[in-house]
Amino acid sequence: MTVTLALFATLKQKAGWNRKDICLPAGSTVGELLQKLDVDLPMLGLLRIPLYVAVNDEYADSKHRLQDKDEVALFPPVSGGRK
Amino acid sequence: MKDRRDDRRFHFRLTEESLSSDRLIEAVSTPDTGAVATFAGVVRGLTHVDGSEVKTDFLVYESYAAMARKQSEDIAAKAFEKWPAVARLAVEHRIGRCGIGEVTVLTAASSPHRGDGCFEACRYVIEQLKATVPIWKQENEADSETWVVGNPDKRLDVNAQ
Repeated sequence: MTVTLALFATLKQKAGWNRKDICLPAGSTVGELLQKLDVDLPMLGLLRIPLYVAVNDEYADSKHRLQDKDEVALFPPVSGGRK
Repeated sequence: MKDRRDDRRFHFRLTEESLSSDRLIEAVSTPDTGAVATFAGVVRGLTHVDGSEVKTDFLVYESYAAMARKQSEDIAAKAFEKWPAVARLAVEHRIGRCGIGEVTVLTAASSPHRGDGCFEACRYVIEQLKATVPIWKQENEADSETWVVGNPDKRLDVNAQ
């Protein structure tokens, strides 16, 4: 299956791109996607940094099972600033 | 059943134009509302961090727009549930470059009287926005630019779960 990966902020900056289609085995989870991306994009440190994942505009966890044509966004915690 | 996100009581806008609280007060006002609470976030020139000072030249804001709208609509829906007397809510956020002193975010809440929850709802919306809405700012100083990373929320951080 194919998912579209969207990167933001520091991730976009380090990867040098913001949007790409990624091929994955059908039924892959978010966690499996991250493991694959960590091999392809080691400079992002995806398994080590605080990381938010959204699938089709809703926050998702590592166990979330992806579907064909999903949009997966990866980004650092939002810039809320201090209270 | 009406999708709770399709709620005309909530106004949301991302824009590269300057924000105006007067306009937002008008946007949330109805014939029944006598009280409007607003919050404005403004670009600081000087930030004190861990004993040192960060001098900002300007900020650049980026957003994951479709999700920012959806998350904001969810926040507004929760605020309307918590404060049922609140009539309207609004959020506007700048994207792109913002200079010192510029307003980057406005939230507004209206209700019939000031005791009907407009202050609380206004605060709730900005606090929730800062925790979950996908907007990031890049701090631009004299010789560096850094994307500001917020404090991770354990419920959202996939590497904390």
